[in-house]
Amino acid sequence: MAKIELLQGTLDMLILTVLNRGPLHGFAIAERIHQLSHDVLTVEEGSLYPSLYRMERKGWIKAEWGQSINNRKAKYYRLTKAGQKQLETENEGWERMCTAIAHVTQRA
Amino acid sequence: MNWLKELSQHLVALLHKEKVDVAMAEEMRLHLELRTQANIDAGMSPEEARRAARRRFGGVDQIQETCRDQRGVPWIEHLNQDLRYALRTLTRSPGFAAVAVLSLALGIGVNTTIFSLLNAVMLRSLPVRNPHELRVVNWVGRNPEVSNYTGDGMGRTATGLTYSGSFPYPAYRDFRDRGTGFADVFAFFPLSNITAIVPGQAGVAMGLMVSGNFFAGYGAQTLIGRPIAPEDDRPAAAPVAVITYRCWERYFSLDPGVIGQSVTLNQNAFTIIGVLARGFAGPLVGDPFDFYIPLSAQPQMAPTRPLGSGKHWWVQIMARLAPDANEAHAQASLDVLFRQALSASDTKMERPGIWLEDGRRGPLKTRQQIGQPLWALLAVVGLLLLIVCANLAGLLLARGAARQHEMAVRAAMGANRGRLIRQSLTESMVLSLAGGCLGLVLAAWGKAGLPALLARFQENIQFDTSLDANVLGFTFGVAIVATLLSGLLPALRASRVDPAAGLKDRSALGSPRLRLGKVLVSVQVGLSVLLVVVAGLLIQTFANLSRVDPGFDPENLVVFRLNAGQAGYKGTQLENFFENVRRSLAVIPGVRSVALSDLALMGGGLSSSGISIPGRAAGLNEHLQACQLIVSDSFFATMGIRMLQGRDFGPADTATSPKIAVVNESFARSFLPNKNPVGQAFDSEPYTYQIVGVCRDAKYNNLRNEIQPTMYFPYSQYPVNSMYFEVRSVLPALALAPAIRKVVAAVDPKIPVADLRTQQQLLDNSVLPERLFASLCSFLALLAVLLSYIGLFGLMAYNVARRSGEIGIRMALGARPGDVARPIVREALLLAAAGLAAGVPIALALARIIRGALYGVEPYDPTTIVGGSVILLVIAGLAAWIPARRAAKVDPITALRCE
Repeated sequence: MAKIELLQGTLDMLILTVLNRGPLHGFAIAERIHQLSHDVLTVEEGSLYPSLYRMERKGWIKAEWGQSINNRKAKYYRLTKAGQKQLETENEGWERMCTAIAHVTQRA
Repeated sequence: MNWLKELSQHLVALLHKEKVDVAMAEEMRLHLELRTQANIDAGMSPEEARRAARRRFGGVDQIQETCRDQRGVPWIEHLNQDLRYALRTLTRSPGFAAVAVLSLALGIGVNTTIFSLLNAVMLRSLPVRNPHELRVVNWVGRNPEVSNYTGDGMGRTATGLTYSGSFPYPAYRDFRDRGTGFADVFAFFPLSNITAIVPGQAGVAMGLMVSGNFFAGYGAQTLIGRPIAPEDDRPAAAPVAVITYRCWERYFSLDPGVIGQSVTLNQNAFTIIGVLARGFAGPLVGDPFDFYIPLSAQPQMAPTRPLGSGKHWWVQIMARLAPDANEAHAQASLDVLFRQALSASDTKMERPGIWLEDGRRGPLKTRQQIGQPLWALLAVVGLLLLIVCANLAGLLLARGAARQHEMAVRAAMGANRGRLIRQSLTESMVLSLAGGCLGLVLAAWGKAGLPALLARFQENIQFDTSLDANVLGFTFGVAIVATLLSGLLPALRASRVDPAAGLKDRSALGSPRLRLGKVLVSVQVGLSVLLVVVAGLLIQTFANLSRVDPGFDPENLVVFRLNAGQAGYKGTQLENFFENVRRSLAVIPGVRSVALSDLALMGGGLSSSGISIPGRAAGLNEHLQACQLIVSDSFFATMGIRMLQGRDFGPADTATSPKIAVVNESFARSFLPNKNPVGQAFDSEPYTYQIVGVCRDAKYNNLRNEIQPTMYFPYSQYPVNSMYFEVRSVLPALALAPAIRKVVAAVDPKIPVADLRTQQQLLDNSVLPERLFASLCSFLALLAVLLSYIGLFGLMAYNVARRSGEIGIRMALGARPGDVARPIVREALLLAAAGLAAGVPIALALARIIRGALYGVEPYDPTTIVGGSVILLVIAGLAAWIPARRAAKVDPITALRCE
């Protein structure tokens, strides 16, 4: 299946979504997005990090150092209350956009 | 508050920059390792797996940089970098940095000094509770006919009505008792020259008479004891006084047992009930008072202004609005009361009303008078700051030009234009802020000397010129303005750099010609000539005033005042007392003669009367005025005023003998032309006087004014409470002071020796403002000239350095040293001449504005203008001299090799 470039601005929402199930480190976030999209969505993995730092600054996620599975020290990101609220608003916005686009494409 | 939290996180991130960077690198390394491992698990070779992981990740360094920007605030980080960079480059050229910081410090320092004074006089609120609730009560009206008026003088409103803050006491009482919308309406009246006797010493003091509710309404507390209360302001109440901190220090050495002690003011005993805090300041400007006493002391302390009289206009009124009051209603209530008070009296005025003036600074009229010269000064020092900025801008331009290569390198490495401008401005800001801080230090030092400038308005005047938010804000604002004025042009210029051209080759870029720099230097010269011309005119004014012949001999003459009336002497006792003192003074070794007068010549006071000349045509006899002075015999001899005709006063002139007068030449010339004045008579209410002598003209209270017709009356015919003594001796004048005090104390220890000065000091004081302005402007002009020198020198030196290759070629082709040096001097002179061409006409216009302040010199005085221009041309020549010599010494071989 062809790979799709990520839409501008949707990366934040995806990150928040995967973090909603529990804390993850950077690599795991990239992997999870990849898996959940059934291997359709790939991100240039590095561009994940600026997003993470920005969202951390905004207080949507919080970072903590912890042990990874193979006993390495890793930085885990966790969704905060503000992050959950942000996720809800982004989801709402996304749904409204999808419906709107669907309306347009179906009627045209 | 979200942004605040964000900002704090930025700052935290900034502080832990290195730790965070390490963590970030670690995090990304882990990511790459895990991906590599995953790739290996998927069957790649380790080498291939690593490369694929990197490809998938992207550029690590770039991503790290983006992360940093996301995490921190870029501008704070950039500012941090810029600051470090600016400090590094500035420490590399300490000479430039020193000149820049010092000139800015002087510019900002003098501005801060003048502003602190202006702030103290004009801007600061009174140090009381809720000063914004205070109002000054004024009456307004058209064509008022007010008699028995005491006050600041009447002002004129924008609508052409007369206004004043002096009221009859009964009007105040009505306002206080029947006005609505006020928390308190309180009144006060200043008393100067009180004879105060505290245990062990006598002195001259100033007092403020206040209504009983003054302290409650004004909103001030005492440091110890209690303030004056309404019960103290009743006719039968025991007389009490509250003293100021300064008085406590001066007379009581801060003795806490002062409460309950008695003090005698003009022979009336008052019990001290409280001491005001050191930071207290009353409503009147400069607050020179020592004692606060209730208005109920009027019969003793101000007997000529009865509390019950509706005809005497004297008390000043302030009010504190009630917190929820409607100001228009409050004013209307006073309007009604004022009209009622007017209709009950015989004072006439049209359209009378009340004007409530903003009272947070107390009555403003005197403040404005004092503030006026300060605004003028602020304009002058502002000019100096402009010169400093022009100078610095020129230096920065030359510096920027020399650093073009560096800028090109930075631009090539990715710095955008905004970043380059910010970098340059940061450097100017560092200079300005350093200059500002140093300027505050200089201002603290300068402030100490300046209150003398205000002393001529009132003695003991004191202002709180300490740092406050206004002054700090002003200094900071000036520093920012200086940064922009001096730094913006050079920054814009420096950022306009083409990296490609700049990097190719240093010489291909070339050093630009500084057209803007030349303009700046010319501007500087033009501004400097303004200051030089103004300073020249003021110096001549002062010199002319110092050379004015006062008409008497001020040398070795001591003057002081004794107020015997306030010690209880009356009628003939007065003359007896004064003659006793005079006799005792005359036997002090070294004393040649002693005389008395009711005012001291050049002491500031003036007294005059209307006169009429019998036999003169009625039309010519109206509104004749002559100055008057009441003097003892041998006053003229003691003062060195020559008698031209007739005789001096003598022992035969007594209270019962015919009234006589001596007049001066002007009097004889103006009123009795073509007659022998001696033996003539003139009328001045209530007597007719016979002229017995004519003396030479002498200046009375002002060196500037023409000498007015003046008449002298013998003091034996008019008992006066307070007399000045003039003691002429062979000794240096003030050496007599201790002996004089001893003699007076021996005759009556209750009478203080007041205002002891030499006659020369009185003369000097009368021209003190002129002297201060002249020396201040000279100082500023000197700085301006020095800065012009630095500016021109910097530009010329830069030009020589820039063109050393060209000069080398010309020398190699046979030019003599003079041939290369001359154009440099010529250019400097041309630049200065251009500045003068613009500056001199402005200076002429400016001189016309200050015409009123000049004496004996025309505003377009050619000597000053030519002299000022020559000074600046000479300075320009000198500034070009060293660079020109450097050019002449260019060695063609070295110069060409460098090229």
